[in-house]
Amino acid sequence: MWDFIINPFVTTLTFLYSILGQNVVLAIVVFTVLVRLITYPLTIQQQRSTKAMQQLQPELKKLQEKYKNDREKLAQEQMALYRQYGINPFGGCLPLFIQLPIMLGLYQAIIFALAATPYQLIELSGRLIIPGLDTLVPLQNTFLGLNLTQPPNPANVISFALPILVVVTTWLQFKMTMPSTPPSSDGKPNQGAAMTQSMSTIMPIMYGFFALQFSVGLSIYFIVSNILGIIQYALMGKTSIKPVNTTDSGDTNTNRQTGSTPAVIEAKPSRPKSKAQTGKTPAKPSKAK
Amino acid sequence: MERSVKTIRHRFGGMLLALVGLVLLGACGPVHIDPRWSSISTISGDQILLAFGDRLSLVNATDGKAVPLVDAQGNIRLDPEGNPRVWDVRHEGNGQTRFYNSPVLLDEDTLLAPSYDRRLLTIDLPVARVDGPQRELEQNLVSSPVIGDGLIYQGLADHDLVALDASNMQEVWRIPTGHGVWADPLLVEDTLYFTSMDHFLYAVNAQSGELLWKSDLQGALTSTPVYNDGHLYVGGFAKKVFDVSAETGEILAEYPTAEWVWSAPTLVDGVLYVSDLAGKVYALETSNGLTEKWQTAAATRAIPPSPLVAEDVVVVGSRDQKIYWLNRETGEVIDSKDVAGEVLANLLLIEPGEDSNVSEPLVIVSTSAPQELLVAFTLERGQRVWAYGR
Repeated sequence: MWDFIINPFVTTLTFLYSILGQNVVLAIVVFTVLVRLITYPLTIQQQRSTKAMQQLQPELKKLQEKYKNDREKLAQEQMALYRQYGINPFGGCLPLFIQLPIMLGLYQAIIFALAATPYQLIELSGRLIIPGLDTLVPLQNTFLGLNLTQPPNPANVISFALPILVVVTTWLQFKMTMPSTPPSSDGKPNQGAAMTQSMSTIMPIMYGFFALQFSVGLSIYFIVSNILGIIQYALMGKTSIKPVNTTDSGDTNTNRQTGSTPAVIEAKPSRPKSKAQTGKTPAKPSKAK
Repeated sequence: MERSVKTIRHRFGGMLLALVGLVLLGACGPVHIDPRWSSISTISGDQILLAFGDRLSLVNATDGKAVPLVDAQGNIRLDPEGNPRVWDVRHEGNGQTRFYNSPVLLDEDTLLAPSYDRRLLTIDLPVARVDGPQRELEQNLVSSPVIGDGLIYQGLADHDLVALDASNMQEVWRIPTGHGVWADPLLVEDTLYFTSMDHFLYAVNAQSGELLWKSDLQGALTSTPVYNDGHLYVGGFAKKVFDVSAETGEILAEYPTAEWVWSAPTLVDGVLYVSDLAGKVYALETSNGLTEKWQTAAATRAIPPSPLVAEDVVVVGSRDQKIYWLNRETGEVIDSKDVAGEVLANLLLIEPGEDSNVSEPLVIVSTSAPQELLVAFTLERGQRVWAYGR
């Protein structure tokens, strides 16, 4: 079932290799850029949803306190709050689940295209959709004296710089994409903040571990992907994400009912209409009578 | 206190999430951990040498049992607990030992085993122990070496083929190639022929390493050429089988296949039998170029091993976990049998004889499934005789 993802990916990677002077690193870089562009709508939706959830935390906290002895009511009120602001509570997760197979397919495409072992090379047969690309197989797999099909080699210091770069760029990307959680007013530990902090430590280490275990070519993909993610988020931060409930034009209702995935900043109660709010917290929802 | 407990719980939750991610990446996704590749050969009589993962085992072809380890007097050796020992070698080394090809005999008592982790291991055959000088090369090793006139010819996985002095494992000469050498070389008198993934078939002087010629075969090559009467036959990733002059390297004839040809063709009575990774088998007459006798879409997946031709059948193993018997004259599939794993390496034929106790010809198949690493079928009727697993 994965072939419908892997085969086009392997073909694209090999095609890029053929038109980019048979430079496999350049092919991986351009390929990663393409994949990032294709998944951009998903990424931006995920970021916006995450931000939206973050901004609603104070309101959710209040609901938790108000209905701490009535879980059913709490759940109802939370869902009502989400509906009111047009937020899908799973909006941050769904794009991730869609991106996961893409990421796995990409990983597999790189492994097959570089083909370090007989099994990987055999697996490559029949996957190249464009006729004529077979003659390029296997791709030239050395870069700066590194064998891209092999894990970092102790004999080559440069190869160990890559896992370090993987850790650093993963950490940076994670820090940028996971918005900081405001501290709780009551001094209690904030679940989201603890989770984020924990993940921001574990994920870079995990990716660093992958980089040490898997081929150097995959490390290049991780690094390029992370850098692009950082750039993408930085651009999004400048162009799209604005403080909650403020607009440049002052028209607070412009995007109120534009769909199920509004930008956080534009999230407002859909019913009843309320005046524009300022500040970092969203308007307190008013109950429909 | 409560705060710190919660914080720990939340941190633990994060770790748990990361672990779940790891499991997802490894188990649910399309990420294939490279399965261990099994390959087989015979070193004498009916003893099968099985290379699988980081282990080498000797198995008796008669009954599929592990061969016991015996001392000079023929007594079975015992382990410290008093249990009988079997011939089994496991070289953990740096934890990266992997065999993609069978070891070869360096001399009567020594096996030479190329491991993917760049080591040429010498194994003391009578005591089943990695012993003697181990040569660590600068690249991974996929192919088996060929030994002749005191030299060991070993292809390297990234590029080049080296000739080592068999007495001290020191490099004597080297032929540079543009990509890896994944197929065993072929030694014919004083000439060494070998293929490379750089698309070329090479002919070199076996003693001096002087390049005699090289021929561009339009695609990567992973199989050993077959020599017959001044002709070399080889298939490759150009989706073609070639008839090449062994004297000059000139391409004399070619025949198109549906997919890549992974392994060496089999030449019997002037007919070349070829399998490809589309699951097809071809029979080509070689008397006048390469003319098709028949072709059959035998398997549903790739057929990496060479066809095994004996009596009136052609036997092939496939990644679809089946063994197929084809009529040698017509190519018609006459029988098929299931096995537990993919068939990736060449099949073996064990025939009755002076040094073999089998009562009828057996086809030995190695699979990638640990519970069924070896399966023996009768050649004629395709009946399963025994299976060996770990």
